[in-house]
Amino acid sequence: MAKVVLTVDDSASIRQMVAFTLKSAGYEVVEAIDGEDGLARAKGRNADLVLTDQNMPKMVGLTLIQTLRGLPQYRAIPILMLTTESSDAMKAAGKAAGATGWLVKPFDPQKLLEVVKKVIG
Amino acid sequence: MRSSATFPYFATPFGLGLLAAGLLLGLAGADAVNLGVAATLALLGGLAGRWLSGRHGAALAETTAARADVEALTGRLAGAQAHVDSVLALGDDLAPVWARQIETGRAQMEQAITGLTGDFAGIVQSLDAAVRASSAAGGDAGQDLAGVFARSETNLGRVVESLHGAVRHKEETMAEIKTLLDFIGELQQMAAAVAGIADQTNLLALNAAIEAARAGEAGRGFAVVADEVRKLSTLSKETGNRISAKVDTINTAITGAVRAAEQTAASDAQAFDTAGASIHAVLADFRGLAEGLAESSGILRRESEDIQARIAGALVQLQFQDRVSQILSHARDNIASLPGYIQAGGTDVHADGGVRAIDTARLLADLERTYAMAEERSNHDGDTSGADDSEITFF
Repeated sequence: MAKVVLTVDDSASIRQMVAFTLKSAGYEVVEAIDGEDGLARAKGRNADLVLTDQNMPKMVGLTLIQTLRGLPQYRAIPILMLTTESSDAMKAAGKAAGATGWLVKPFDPQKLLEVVKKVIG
Repeated sequence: MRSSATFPYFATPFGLGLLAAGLLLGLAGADAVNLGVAATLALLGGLAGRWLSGRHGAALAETTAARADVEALTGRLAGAQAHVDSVLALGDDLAPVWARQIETGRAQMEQAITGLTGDFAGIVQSLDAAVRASSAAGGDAGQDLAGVFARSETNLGRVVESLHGAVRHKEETMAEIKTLLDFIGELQQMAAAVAGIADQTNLLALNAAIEAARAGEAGRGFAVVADEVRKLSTLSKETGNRISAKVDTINTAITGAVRAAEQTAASDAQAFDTAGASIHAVLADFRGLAEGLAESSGILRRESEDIQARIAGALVQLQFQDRVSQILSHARDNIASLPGYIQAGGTDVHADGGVRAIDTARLLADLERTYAMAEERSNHDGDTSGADDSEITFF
């Protein structure tokens, strides 16, 4: 049974790269185009890992993380922020919101895979 | 024009002076004192006229200068109004165009990069499928293929060996059959011996018949026996001859069979040698083919891995689109909000004629709040050296 990764990003090309990278390693990937869509899809299908961007229309990544952490099924699920934001202040906000880790874009597909394997195997 | 305008200012006081001098002389008489006073009055009138005329000229010059200043100020005010109008137009007309152009560029870039990423992903998947198929045909399975050939070679070698064994067995059978020819000779001798015994028996029977005849009546019974013995000896001789004839027939048949077997044995051995050589040649060709296939498959796999690594690098580079798109979005939104800031200053121009400065500091602060990347903040501060982003942080 393949592990399910939910990728939330308003950039179609980033979603495509993440999906391509993870699918080629055998993961099942669910794509969401913004925070609200991500929340709806997270409720519809229990993901083993959530990868989310920060700056998105409708709902930003930090809000999505806070909301997901309020749901019983996502209390202990790893959530990684994959964003162009790199300031220490934002990282601290991410940690406070409940993020498991912080990845700065652009990402190396191989490194992304290593991180995902490290987090969910 | 100016002299006619200044004329009344000079002529009026001077005329009044002359009138006063005339009245004085007419009423008081033209004595020396009155003449002096009248001349003084006329002179004072002239001086007063000249002074007034001078004052009027100066006032006129000041008025003209002031009018010029007013006209200049009016011109500058019109220029300022035109400038304010143009700034308003900048906000109302130009800023939305800038914002739309930036958005169009951003959207087109996003569309192109998304397409490009999809193409690259498709290339990698196709390569992967091709390498897998190639590996199945001659790559990883090349070892198995070589094993199959080795086993085939062994099995076919056994077949060739068993064929050689069959030939050898045939030769041994022929050798055994040849030994039968020696028995043929013995059989011929035995047949000849049987014929000899028959002749002797016949001779013996003949002598017995003679002796029986000589014995007369007493030997009649013995004569019958002697005749029967003679008949048996004749039969024995005939049987011996038939045995000899049959042995000759068998001898001919065996000799013919052995000759025929000897003739085919050479061609059989040659055929089997040729078949064995052909099998080895075909197997060698196939082994070479399999090794070549395995080698080309290995090259294909290595090249594919290299291409996949390069495409992975390209995918990293293509993510510039996400960063550029964010920078352009922030610039677009800030430009789109520009008309509002300009209007806030321009409204006062139309309401009370006053001009309020555009709140550039607030506009800049609003822009700064939207920043997501370190380089945006660096650019904002005029530092173009870029930022060193740490890639991965675990909490």
